[in-house]
Formats: sequence, C-alpha cells, structure tokens
Amino acid sequence: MDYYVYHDFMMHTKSITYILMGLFVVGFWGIWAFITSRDEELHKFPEHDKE
Amino acid sequence: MTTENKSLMTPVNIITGIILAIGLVITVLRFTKGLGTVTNLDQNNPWGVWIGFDLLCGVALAAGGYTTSSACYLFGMKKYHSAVRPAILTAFLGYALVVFALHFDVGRPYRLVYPIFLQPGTTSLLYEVGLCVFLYVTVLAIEFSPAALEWLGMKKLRNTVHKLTLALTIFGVVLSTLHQSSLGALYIAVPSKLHPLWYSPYLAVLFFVSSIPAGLSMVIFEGTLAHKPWHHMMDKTHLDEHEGVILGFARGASIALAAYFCVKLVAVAYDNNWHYLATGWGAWWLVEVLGFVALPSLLYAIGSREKNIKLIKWTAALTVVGIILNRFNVSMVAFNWQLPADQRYFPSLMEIMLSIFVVTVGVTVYRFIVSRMPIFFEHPEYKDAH
Repeated sequence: MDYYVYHDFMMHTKSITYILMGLFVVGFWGIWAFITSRDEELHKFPEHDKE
Repeated sequence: MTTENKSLMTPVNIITGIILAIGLVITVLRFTKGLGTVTNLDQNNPWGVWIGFDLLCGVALAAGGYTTSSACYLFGMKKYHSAVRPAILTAFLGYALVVFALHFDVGRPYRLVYPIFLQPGTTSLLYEVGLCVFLYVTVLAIEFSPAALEWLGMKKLRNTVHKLTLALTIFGVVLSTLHQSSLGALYIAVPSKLHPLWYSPYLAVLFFVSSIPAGLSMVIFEGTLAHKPWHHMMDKTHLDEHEGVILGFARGASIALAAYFCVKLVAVAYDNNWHYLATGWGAWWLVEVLGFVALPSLLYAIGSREKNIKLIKWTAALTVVGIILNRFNVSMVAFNWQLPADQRYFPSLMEIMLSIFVVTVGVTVYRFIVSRMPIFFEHPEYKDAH
C-alpha cells in the first residue's frame, strides 16, 4: 500500500490498531471467563467442594 | 574429618568446583589481557552475551521479587507470604550477579562509584538504569536482611528492619518499573540496527510488561527446583501454601502474558511491519511470539483452570526460556541483522563459560543461604511476627 503523506500512514496504522484493541478487549473477556469458569461452577454447586 | 570431607565431595560440588575454577582463570585473563582476549566483541557488536544474558535476562528473571512482595504487602494477598522470602532472595542474588557480571564487561571495578557519585550523566538512560539497579540492590539487601538477622540472632535490629517492609516494597516497585522499562528503552536508540519486528517505540513497555510473567514464572520454576533438595527445610505453612502460590501465580502469569502478546501485536501494527512476517525473520518472530508467549499464556490458563500443577510447572520453564529468547533476540540475534554473516556476533567459548560461572556463583550462594537461614521456614522465635 502506498502512502503519499504521513497522515495516510497514520490513518492506516491507527485504524488497524483500533481494530486490534477491540479484538483484545473481547479476547481478555474470553480468557478471564475461561480461567474463572471452574470457580463459578464451584460457587454454583457448593456441595462440589465437599467431595 | 573423613565424614565431613565425604559429604562435601558430591557430584554437584565437584562440577561446581570445576566451573568456579574455570571462571576464575577467565576472570584473571579478562582483567589482565583485556576484552579482546576472552570475547568476540568488536566495534559493530560492543554488547554481547554478558549484556544479553547476564544483565537483560538476569534483571527480567529477578522480577519475582517485586511481583511477589507487591502481591503480598501491597495487594494484601497474604496467602502468598511463604513465597516472598524465596522470591526476594532470588531477586537479590539476581541483581547482585548483574552488578558482578557487569564488571567483566565494563572493566575497572574500582571506578564503579563514578557514574553514581562523581560523574552522573543525568540525561543518559544508562545512568538511570545504573542508579535504579544500585538503589534496588540496596533495597533488596535490606528486604532480605531480616532472614540473615534472624539466623544471626540479632533480634533488635531485625525488628527495626522489619518495620520498613511496606516502604521498601513500594520503593522496590517504583525502581523496578523504572529500570525494567529503561533496559528496553536503551534499544530505542538503534532503529537502524535492530530488526523492525523487534524494534519498536514501545520497547520500554514491552520489557516492563514481559518482566511480570518472567518474575511470576521464575518464582514457580525456582520453587519447583528447590522443592526436592530442600523439602526437609520447608515448614508446614510453606508446604501447605505451595500449591496455592503456583495456581495463583499461574493465573496472573496467563493474564500478563496475554497482555504482553497484545502489546507485541500493537508494536507491529504501529509501524506497519506486517510484511516482514512473510520473511525468515518473520518466521523466527512468530516462533518467539506464538511458541513462547501465546502458548504459555494458554497453557497457564488451562493449568490454573484444571488445577494441573505439573502442566503449570512445565509452562513456567517454557516462559523462562521464552523471556531469555526474547532478550537474546533483541540484544544479539536481531541486532545488526543487516550485516553479512561473517561480521555477525557469536559469543566465544570463554564468554559462555563466564556466564555459566556467574550463574554457578549465584546457585552456590543460594545453596549456602537456604541451607542455613529461614527462607523456606519461619524462625520459631518470629512465627507471629509477619
């Protein structure tokens, strides 16, 4: 891709970075949900702890 | 006499003795014949494996000190208290060895006071790193001293120093934030020498963020290595809390590695360097980022979710290797990437042996301390003093 002025370059890279940041937010939510999912299961079924 | 001599002549001690003897010979050569005799350093490559491994890896892997003490004392996670002393000891030895190893690279140890007290270059990043390391080694020495004072039976002084814990922890976090990032910032000065995939205006952020999982992984890794030989030195509290420390730190390391992975991608996007990913250098970058950042993050997440201690311990080793790989890539592999192969740097055998010597000195001092001082157990006289 050709950039005629610095503004074009910044628009391109910043746009991609903003899209990435959106994906990261969703990704972090996914990781957190994955890591803590078993904690919630234990919370939902306290008798599971007693076993 | 014979019993004591026999107990000292173990295979580990013999290997240690051989490495220390070789290291001492190289030390004499370095300080009598100069850098050229023992290293492959030249005008193109003034920083080699002594900076790349002993300093950059040493500082990153010693980050367990500030991460563990801030988790325990600043965030109030007292369940990690038993991990604080081993982490502080590792950090203290790590930083002390960084200063020790730096003497070999810089030379003239008697001039060590110059950059701090006599000729401070206050506009230099190197000065900032030097000042931070000088102050942080002092902080770590004071943070570690209660263990030594308990061992020596100096109760009054120990209680005085113990009161400084919170202030020292805060000071330690501030100093670590400064110099962990500054070590990365040093390479911002060489955009034409460092490959674009590793060069970034965010290098300072990358070095600091990566030091967090490095420190957490090192605490898990070192705890795993220490568990077998010093199991008899560990008290019930330490053994009971061990699993909780591993699971909690694995969770933290997973999130921190995920954050590091994101900053790595942003660094590539910011300079629009995506096209380099299709080259050989890109393949190597992907090995580092997918194999030693994204994969450990995922494995830590699975390990902490499934409470799989064995998986977490292997992942800690993978992360430590990944951090070493990253520091090697920045300081040596991707550095001067445009030079022809015959002008590229590869460490000499004596450089590598000296780095092994430095690590061996650290392990020997570590063994001496944990075999005597209350590191893995609470001193009977101070059980309720935390």
